[in-house]
Amino acid sequence: MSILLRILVCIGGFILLIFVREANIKRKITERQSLFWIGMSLVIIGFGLFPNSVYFIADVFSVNYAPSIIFAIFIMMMTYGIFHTYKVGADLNDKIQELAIQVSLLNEENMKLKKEVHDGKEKSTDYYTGL
Amino acid sequence: MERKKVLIIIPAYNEGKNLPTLLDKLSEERFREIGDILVINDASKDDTREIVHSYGLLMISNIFNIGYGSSLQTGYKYALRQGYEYVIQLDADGQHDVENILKLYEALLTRGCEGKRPDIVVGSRFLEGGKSFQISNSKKIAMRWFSFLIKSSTGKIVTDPTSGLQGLNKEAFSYYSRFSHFDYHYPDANMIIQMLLLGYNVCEVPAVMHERREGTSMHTGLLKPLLYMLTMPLCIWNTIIRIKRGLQK
Repeated sequence: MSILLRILVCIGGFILLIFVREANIKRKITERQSLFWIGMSLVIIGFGLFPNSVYFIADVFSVNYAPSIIFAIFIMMMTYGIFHTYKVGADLNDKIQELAIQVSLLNEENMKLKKEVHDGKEKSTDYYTGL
Repeated sequence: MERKKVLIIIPAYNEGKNLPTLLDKLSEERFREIGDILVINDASKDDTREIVHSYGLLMISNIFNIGYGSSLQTGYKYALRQGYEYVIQLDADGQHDVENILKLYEALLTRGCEGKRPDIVVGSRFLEGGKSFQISNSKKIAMRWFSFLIKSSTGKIVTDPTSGLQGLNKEAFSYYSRFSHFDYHYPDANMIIQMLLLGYNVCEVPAVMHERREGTSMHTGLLKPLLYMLTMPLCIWNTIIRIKRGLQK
């Protein structure tokens, strides 16, 4: 890996790290979600600082073309990220459905109570006016 | 009927085995005189709901599990709406001795640390007069680490930064009740730092805590404590940055 590419990889990792931190500070993502992305950015920076680690990992898994190990790692991490997002999305969908049902039921109850109060008021007015 | 000033909040999730002992003790007149008791049933799958009903206590049942922090915030919002002056929160697992309620209430009413009434009183098992159960070494290290972070960021010594036993006055719980003012994911040392940096007066009083009798804590296992140890410093860091940048007022 050339020096220029290593520098670019490190800068890329740092930019991701800054984006993640800013998003977390501004509450766009939670601390727990940010841990995953911080991990990702540290892996990128690690590959930029220690390019030999790529060859080492490639050797361990008997991969002939070393850079493909980088793609493999990122595909795995991205797959996890996408899977997790799907899970969160499905969970939120269920909760919104449940909340919508509860709000509808509460609305109905509220209308009933309002009607009862209204009827009660009318009755008491009738009593005082003698109608 | 005279309105009570204090609301005792007990968030509960699957604590059906521990709740009767706690609620029996809280049924004593001296506790009932102090305040109302509100149990936040966080969509428990056991008989928590039925147990609380049988004691005739105030109860809010969440329609699905929203977590410990969100349940607490529900309690703060309820206290604000109903016009309570103080909130005392304790865990449903029976770890917090009920006698602590009286200590916390007394501390909230008296001029304690720094010569003024505290906004938040934290029950500490490590102060003289406090009593603790056996704590694992990893938890001890975590507590010391969080105490160090509080000391270095605020200058205040807090001996029990993970204590859920707290008393809050109206200023404190009405602040917490607002959107994004309370970290419902991890309401811990980061919240103490936040309140101290915002100028709230936080004091500690000695507290007695017992070992949980039944069930398991929410911090059990391997992954959960590990994630907690990674996440909490991040939460603290974020809290400090938000206040410095004026994002948290």
